[in-house]
Amino acid sequence: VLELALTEAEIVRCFARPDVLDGLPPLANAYACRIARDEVMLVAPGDSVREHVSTFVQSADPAALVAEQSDGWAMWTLVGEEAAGVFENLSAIPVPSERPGFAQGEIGGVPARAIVLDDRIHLLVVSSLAHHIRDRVRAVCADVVVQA
Amino acid sequence: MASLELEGRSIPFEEGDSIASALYRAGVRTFSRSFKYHRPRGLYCLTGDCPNCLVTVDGEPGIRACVTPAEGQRVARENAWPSADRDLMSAIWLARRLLPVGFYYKTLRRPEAAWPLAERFVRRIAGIGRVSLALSPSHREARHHHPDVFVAGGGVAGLAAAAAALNAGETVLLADENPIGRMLPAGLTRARIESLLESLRNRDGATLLERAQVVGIYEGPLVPVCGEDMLHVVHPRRVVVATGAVERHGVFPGNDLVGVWLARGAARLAGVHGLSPGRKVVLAGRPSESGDVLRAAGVDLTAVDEGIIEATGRGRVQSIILESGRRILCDALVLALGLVPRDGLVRQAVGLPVVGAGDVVAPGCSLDEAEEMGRAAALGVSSRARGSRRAGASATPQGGFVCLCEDVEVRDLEDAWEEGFRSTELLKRYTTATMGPCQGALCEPHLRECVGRRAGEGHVVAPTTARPPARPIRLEDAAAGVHFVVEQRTALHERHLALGAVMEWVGSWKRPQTYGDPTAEYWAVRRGVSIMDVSTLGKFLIGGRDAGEFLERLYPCHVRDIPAGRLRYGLLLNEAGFVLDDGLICALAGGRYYLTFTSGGAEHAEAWLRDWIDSWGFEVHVLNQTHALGAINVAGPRARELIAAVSGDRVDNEALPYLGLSAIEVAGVSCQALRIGFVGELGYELHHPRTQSVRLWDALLEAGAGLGILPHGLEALRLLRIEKGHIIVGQDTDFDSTPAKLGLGWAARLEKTDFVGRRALERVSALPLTQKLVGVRFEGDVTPSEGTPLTADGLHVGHLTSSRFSPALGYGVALGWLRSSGAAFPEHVTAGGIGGEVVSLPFYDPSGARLRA
Repeated sequence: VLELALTEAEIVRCFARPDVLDGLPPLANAYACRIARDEVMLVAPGDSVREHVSTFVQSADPAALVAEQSDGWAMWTLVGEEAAGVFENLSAIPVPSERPGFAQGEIGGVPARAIVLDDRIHLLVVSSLAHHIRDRVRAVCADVVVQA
Repeated sequence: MASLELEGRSIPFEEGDSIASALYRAGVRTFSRSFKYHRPRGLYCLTGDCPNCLVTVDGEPGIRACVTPAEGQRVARENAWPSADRDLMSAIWLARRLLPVGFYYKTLRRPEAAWPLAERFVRRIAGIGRVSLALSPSHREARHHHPDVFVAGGGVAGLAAAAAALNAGETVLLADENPIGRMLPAGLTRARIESLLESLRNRDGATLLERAQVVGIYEGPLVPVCGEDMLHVVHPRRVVVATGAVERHGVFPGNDLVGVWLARGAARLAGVHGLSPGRKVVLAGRPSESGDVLRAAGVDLTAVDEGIIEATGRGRVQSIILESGRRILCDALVLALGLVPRDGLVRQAVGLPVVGAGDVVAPGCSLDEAEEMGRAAALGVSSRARGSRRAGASATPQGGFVCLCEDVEVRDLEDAWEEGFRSTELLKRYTTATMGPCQGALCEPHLRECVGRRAGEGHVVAPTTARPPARPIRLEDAAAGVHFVVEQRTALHERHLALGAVMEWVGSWKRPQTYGDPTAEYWAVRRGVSIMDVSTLGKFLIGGRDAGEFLERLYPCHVRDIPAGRLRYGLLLNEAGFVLDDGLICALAGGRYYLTFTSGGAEHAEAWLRDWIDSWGFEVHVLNQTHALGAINVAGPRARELIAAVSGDRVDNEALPYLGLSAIEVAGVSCQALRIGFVGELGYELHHPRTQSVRLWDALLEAGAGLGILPHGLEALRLLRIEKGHIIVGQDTDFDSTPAKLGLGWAARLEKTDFVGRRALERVSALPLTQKLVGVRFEGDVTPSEGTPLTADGLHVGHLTSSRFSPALGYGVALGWLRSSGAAFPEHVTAGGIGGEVVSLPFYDPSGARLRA
């Protein structure tokens, strides 16, 4: 059974010099997604990481910009054996081979990001398109159980 | 028994029938009329490679009857009048001398008026069916696949390739345009295919798509495949093309008569559908499995092994004449002249990881060889091509049709050659051979042979360029996946619906047009207080070491002199000085800025910002907050009163003056309040976290109940802003609107050293202004609509871009583009018969006192 559910997460976007972001230490409770040379997006389903990251980044780069953006994003989580297959059907982007893996680009016809884990895939899309991703997943997999 | 309908006649069909076999069983022999000469055409290949069985099915033209299962459809034959059986337009054949190759370049050109008349006639009588305008295209889904190996073709080589890839631990997607194996007559080939297919069924990593046509192979590689109900977009690492071969088309006088068959087609008719191609059948050519199938099916065959000079008959074959001069009476001629690779996909894929296997590279190979080649191809090893693409080449044919799709005869190619079209590509373009629905599957070898013969020994003939689509596809397949609507919703979407809002599109956003009474909404703004959801505005936080310098160079206004806590209207210009977008520049503490853009312009604005940051090498960070922040505009003379009711923070003129911004808390929600007035009244835009939008909205409505609050939608907004003379970029601007033309010259400071568009504006500033956006006042109750042309002294001088009747002012207000007539701009204009006066802007509150109240 494939399940799709909205997952609470803290989203923190860090803009800083590339060398500062390169040195960002791994966080046990957050996924660090490298969006661009000067941007890392932190996705923390558990505890808040903003303060910790902000302290680290801004001490190394005073002009850095660290902003919590949880309101701007919806995180849908696909769980089930078919998750990878559904993701494949939704996008021209192949499922990343590493775990956790990160991909960004057009997913379901809109700009989105994906964090791929062993047992689930988190799909991140801007809040105003949250319903769209849900509908596209349903179009690909009519049997999906949606928990919004 | 189930039946389909042919031109009003009920045709029964059996399980496994195609439309073609069902019609043939019912006695139908003429399946179509040819493209140009309206010659009767019957079943020929039965593999989807020729145009002879193209019919209209349920109103959809150009359907290949031989590969389309019979399912009770309504079928009609095409391009004939009054019927395909007795087509009066076939008289064109008698006048064929008047229709030489390329006739449309040569004839009916003088007098000039002749061609348009002739063209209408030609279009009416030529072609392969008509598209029904009554049919609605279906919206097809597109689905992506990412196999390691994609295999085109489910024959022996293709299935072997798929099995080998699976055995190597790879994932495979295999597509075939037919039900795999089931369209073949019983025999060695079918048995081998069934055996291989069985080994693939239910294996992990294997996806089999049947009745799925490969459209083409693109860079990537990217392989679109038209399935029965959706488009499959395949992104493989490697591609194996195992699309087999097509029986060689025979060219001789009478070769298109009904009753002339390609051997595999005749075998399929007999072996799969249990029907005989004729009562007295001649099999010409090489021994083949097809001959064995026909014999096994009990078909009365006469085999001949010499060349055919001509097939004769009226409408259908009645006899053939052999090279020896011998005439044989018959009602069917089956041609087994060898195989030509169906290699269009391979030829499309130059430089890509694509290899062929089986008949595609070695036409006529044995089953074992095909299997071996398939296994090698799965591992990326290309088999050496063998067999000649010129197999069966002969002396110049004495006549007959080279291209059945386009009615191109041997003499047409010869004449074109004499006229100087001396290469395959030139002959193709001039004669249109290979450009029909079969995409050269039958005629392309003959085209090359013609060039080879005429050019002489030593001349190397190249195949024509193969392009997608390899098979005919529907336009709705080409557009698959783009029909679903991307609808952006603000956090207040459900609130708007609950209030009875009529929603409308603004870019990709859905926004309230009105909550039922736009006039009441308008008066709420002008006389009391109103709120509007403006969350759709583009919203960006700009930071980084070079933020100030970057914005100074980007915007035409001064930026670095904006003190923290103040904001300024800013235009976004392109290099030509034309307005791209507009919005606000808000200066924050710490050298950061907050920018807003129009609702539809956020994405473009972000790309524009990033492009210039990269171009200039600035260290600037751009955080798009459009989706993270909501925004509610509180407007009206009682706006301050409303905010005071739900906020402990001061918003008076001292604490928050016009064009100021301040962090305040409203109804417990942290907001950045921007003191601006797009609608021309005291106003505060409250930018806040998106998740707090509902809370803030509800609190404002509740607190404003005693003030007569109403939310307002876009319809009221449009009138309010016209009264103030505020433009909407895209509606009131054109592609070449400069600030000066818009009356916004003050927003572009040419005294600045540089900004995007400055050089262009400097140049045009020396030229007289010949066009500008103006305000037009119309007396009376009727106001001309948007888009109405403006005239002055009988001359067209412009058009209206925005217009409404103003209840507050009691006259019509409009914005419009006006051209100067001579040295001056007209002061009086007419729009739709209504006289108007050109006036200075704004119409409402020219001093701005209400904004600053």
